[in-house]
Amino acid sequence: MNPSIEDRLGSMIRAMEEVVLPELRGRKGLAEEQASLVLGHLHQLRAQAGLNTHYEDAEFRALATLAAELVAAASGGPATMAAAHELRSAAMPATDDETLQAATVRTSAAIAALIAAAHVDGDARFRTAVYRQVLGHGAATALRDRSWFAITGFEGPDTELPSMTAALT
Amino acid sequence: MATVHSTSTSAFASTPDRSDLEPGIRAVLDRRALRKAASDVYRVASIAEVEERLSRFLASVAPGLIASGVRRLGGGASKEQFYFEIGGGAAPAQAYVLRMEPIQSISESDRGREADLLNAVRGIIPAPEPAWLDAEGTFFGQPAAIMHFVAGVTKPSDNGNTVTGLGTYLGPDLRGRIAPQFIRNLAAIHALDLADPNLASFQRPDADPWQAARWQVNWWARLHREDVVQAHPVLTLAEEWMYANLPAATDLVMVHGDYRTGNYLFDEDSGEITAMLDWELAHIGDPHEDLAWTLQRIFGSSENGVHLASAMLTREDFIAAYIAQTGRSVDPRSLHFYEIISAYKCVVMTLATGMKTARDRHNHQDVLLTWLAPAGYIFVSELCRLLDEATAP
Repeated sequence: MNPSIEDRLGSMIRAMEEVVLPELRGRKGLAEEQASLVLGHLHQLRAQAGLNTHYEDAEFRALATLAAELVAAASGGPATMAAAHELRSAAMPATDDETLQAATVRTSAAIAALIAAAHVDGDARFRTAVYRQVLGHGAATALRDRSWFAITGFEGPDTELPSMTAALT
Repeated sequence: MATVHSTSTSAFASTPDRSDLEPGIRAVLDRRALRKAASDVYRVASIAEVEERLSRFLASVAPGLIASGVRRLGGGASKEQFYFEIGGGAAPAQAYVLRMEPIQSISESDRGREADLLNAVRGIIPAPEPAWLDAEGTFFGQPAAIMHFVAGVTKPSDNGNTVTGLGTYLGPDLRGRIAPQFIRNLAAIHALDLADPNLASFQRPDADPWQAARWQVNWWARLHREDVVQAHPVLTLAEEWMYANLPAATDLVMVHGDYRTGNYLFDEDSGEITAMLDWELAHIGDPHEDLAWTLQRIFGSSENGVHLASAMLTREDFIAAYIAQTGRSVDPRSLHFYEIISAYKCVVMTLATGMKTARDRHNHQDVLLTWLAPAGYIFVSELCRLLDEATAP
């Protein structure tokens, strides 16, 4: 029987908490600081274990939806229309020989290019639509991403975030 | 304080030159691009290597002085730092900090400019005192500076494991002692005489009233272009909004560039600020820039549901205290613009430059940079909120 990812993460966390960090504690140097960060990363990986594929799916789906909305609304001069055409081709699911992450990077780059083009020769109405749609997407996905990484502790005590699984659906 | 050349036309603002940068910053970014392209993985220096480099350096600049007790320091997210002492025979040992640049960091800067500024603030604002400089990295392999050691802490000892000042909590007594000094020091920085010969390496954005804001947008947009790992639509939108809404600067001051709790040392018993730190992003610009940076939510704390800017004062109290200390007025539109660029800069630092630096293994703090990266999503939320309050182009 192979040790599971959960087993291995758990054993590394114990080693860091019970052996490594106590040896370094109180020295106030970079080694203690980095060992604490390694421990934090391990806790984070354990909290996200098994959900990574769901996260990548949710990230791509949200971008593909934004891309479709922007392409449908695109209106303006040659720079805008060419960027919209490029985005229509780019916002496709991963091909057999690429990862979903690569499709996400490709789609987000094409969206950014259309936003820039809209400010070159996009119609005023399209620019307004871009503004609202991009902000709507940004606010929603930032909440998802903050929930995904809430374990880092950067959020204030008054912050209310959806649970990690709720944020991915 | 310096006055910018006024102009009655808004042509500069409506068609901003996206390549216009402070020459000193352009040189820093050009050098950074060359170094990134030419470098492989950054290897962390061992204590023995640092001792050897220090020995060669001191033999050159101060023959007879010997460094001892070299140890690596924690803290910070950009420079490799080492503590050491120099004993001068009968004289008591003096403590120093060596700060070495890695290949890449989340805030690229110039050790020479930093030393110039620290010399200019000596006797005016508590700050580390530069001792020696290896601006070209002749002895240390990378540009490096040696500062006199200053005692103090960046956060109360009961604050637990927080990084780079984020999540610092100052109790009522401590913030009551620190806040007045924090405001006074900011006012003193903004009152520095820009004609001081020590500040000759800082150029003034006075070609037109929008140049101060334009230099900032161009600086950080260039870093975004060069370091983007995965494009974020909101960042592109923010860039376009900023270029369309550059505020005119009515006066120019020395801007600290990273003025917040976490970036000063204080004596935990007395609450006395012993040194303002992290001067490397300083430049001449619009005073609203420092106010907006200090006001960023993530640099603050919350108590009984009330947000405290930089863990000390409410937003209103902070602005009122600054106005009372300086006699300067605060323009809400300029402040809003600089709050947007502050959030934008933090997203670029964390999710673009920080991630690129860690991925390229160009830094000694990769594990910190990948830990800090998700903080970028809090800044994305802030950016969306601030842009939502603004008018669409």
